[in-house]
Amino acid sequence: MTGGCTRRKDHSLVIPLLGARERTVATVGLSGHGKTVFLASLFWDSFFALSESFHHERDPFTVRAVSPRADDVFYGHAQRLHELGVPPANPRTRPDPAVLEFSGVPCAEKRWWRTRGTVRLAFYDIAGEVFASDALTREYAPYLAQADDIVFLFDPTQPDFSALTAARLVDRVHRVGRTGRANIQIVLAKMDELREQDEWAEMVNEFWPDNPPFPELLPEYFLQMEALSRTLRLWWLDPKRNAQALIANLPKETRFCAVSSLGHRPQPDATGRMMLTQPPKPFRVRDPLFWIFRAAGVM
Amino acid sequence: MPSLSLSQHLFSSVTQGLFKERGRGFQTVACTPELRDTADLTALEEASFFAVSPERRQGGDLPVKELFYRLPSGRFAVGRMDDARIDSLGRDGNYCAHQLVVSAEHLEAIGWQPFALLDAAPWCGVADDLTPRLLEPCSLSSATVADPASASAASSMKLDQQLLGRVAAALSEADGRTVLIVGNEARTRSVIRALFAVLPSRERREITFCTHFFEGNPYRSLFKVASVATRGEAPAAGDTDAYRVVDHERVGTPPALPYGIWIEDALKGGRWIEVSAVHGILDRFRQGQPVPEADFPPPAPAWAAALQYCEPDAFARALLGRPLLLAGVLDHLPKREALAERLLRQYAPPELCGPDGTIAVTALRAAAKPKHWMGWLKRHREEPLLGPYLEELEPAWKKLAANLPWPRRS
Repeated sequence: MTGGCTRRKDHSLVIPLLGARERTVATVGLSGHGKTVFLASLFWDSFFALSESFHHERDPFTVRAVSPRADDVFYGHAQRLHELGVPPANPRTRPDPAVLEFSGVPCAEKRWWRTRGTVRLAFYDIAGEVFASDALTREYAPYLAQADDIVFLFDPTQPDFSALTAARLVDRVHRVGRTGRANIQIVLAKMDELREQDEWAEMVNEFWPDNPPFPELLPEYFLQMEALSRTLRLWWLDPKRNAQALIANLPKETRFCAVSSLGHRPQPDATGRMMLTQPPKPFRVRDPLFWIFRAAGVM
Repeated sequence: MPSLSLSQHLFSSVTQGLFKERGRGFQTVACTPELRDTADLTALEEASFFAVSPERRQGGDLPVKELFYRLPSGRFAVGRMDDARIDSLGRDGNYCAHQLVVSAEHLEAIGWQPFALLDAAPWCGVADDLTPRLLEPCSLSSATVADPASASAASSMKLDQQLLGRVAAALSEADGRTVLIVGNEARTRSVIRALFAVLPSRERREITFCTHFFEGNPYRSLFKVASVATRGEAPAAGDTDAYRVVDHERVGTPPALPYGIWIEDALKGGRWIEVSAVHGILDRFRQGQPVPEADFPPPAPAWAAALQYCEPDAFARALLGRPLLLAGVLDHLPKREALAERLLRQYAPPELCGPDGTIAVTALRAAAKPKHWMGWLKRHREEPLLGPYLEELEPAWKKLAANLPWPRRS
């Protein structure tokens, strides 16, 4: 672990005064890199882990599906995870927004601890193959132009992952969506597999297994997120990954995260269908959500 | 009937598709070379969409989606999509879409029956070869493509006549909207199929359809008729204004126009001969062909109103010189003044009523407004056929003059 969680002036704790309370979140990634599972896991974590750790008698933390699409995507997929299945592949179509409302969100800043915020996030999840060309991206993902937050998800265990494909995807989304004002997050998935294999991912072991933060520990949690983000940026900047150009092109405020949506690798059953061997144990899937909460000014 | 040679398109989620730069995922797996780099290929890819609700997937109720729509080139696509179980990553939700491209000429050759193609074509499925490749056109011999294109054929189908009537009426009054049928999709499919047997040629040629429209709202413009299994699978409430909804289980908006009123009633009542006859007449009207008097069904108010509504000029011309038919129609038509006015304004007595058309003249006199009748009498006062009625002219004129609001002399 290189980042350390030392107490020093942390700009990530400054709450934007004019943050929007309704935000559009686009998840972007190549086919099979785990966008849908990430969103399912994010909901799972909020519904189970955060609602417990953020519990407050007067103003409890809740997450609820506001749009019909959210009901399908989030509750439907959570149900599948509960039954140890994995969410189905997204068909290639223009998705409706799946809107979640988070309320009772605690604030990380000590002087605002008494206040709890509410935010609505419209998530767009789409089949990854639409990001294969500008024309398809423009056709199927017009919401990119309105996105407040863009979460790029990369699975380094996939054979098509490389700095080049990642940079190409980021450039394409920026070019097609003109996403100059959006908050960018670069998220690495499958930490459950990588932490054992990759020397750089050893840092993840410091935080493994995952523990949901309590409101009073949020400042410390944000420091961890900051530290992880810095370390991951350094990972991308490692010359052997050839990702200098990608990182140089990203806005300075870009956040980096490392997550494991399920906590373990699903195994094929007798029919070849991937199944979980135990209930999901997500690892830090809330980090991208917390960065969005920060940008929205509710955490 | 010629044999058919149809371009093909195959779409699924694969590790590598026909176009290598696209990587993994849903994409074109194979197609006929002539489709490459065409707008039709883009449209075929876009329409290759298949989704199943979580409830149905969990219950193992996986539908087959059949669709028929127009391509940018003016040709048509007829296709079949079904669940292909898991993709290369072991996830549910994979599907296989196989579509054929058919020209209007080919459709004419098979009586404009896309369901005949859906029945006859060797559709690909999950068990078939999904290696990326160029495909030969699909050859179908004419003998394999059946042609059940008539209302009498529809009568032999096991049909929900009530639903067929409601759908046909809704389609005639959809006003550019897609008719969304809510209810059992297999039952709906048989109704859509019957539409191709019962409707007139022009209306039949305008039908495009999708038999499983779950999450299909973005593709609405492709289809005139679409089917969903439940209200829950229908587009969200905000989008339903774009549809004319026909629910199997609920009474909807009744038809308001003469054709819709007639077709709903006739199909509900199973009056196949009348439907066939009236639509045959409409077809010939539109092709400018004559219709023998014997081909008209016995006068009835509803079909006459429907013909007058759909093709007023041709219908009026078809009545010329046929006093019995003219009198019968005028006696039964609910709003007969319009037809009488049209006839009296345009035609002279011999042409309109024939040489011995007293019965027709009597019917016209009863149907027309007095000013139109008397105007016609005045214009044609030399005609012997009108002789018995000329005596009425003067008193009637005087009465009319007396009632005019010009100033009287004291």
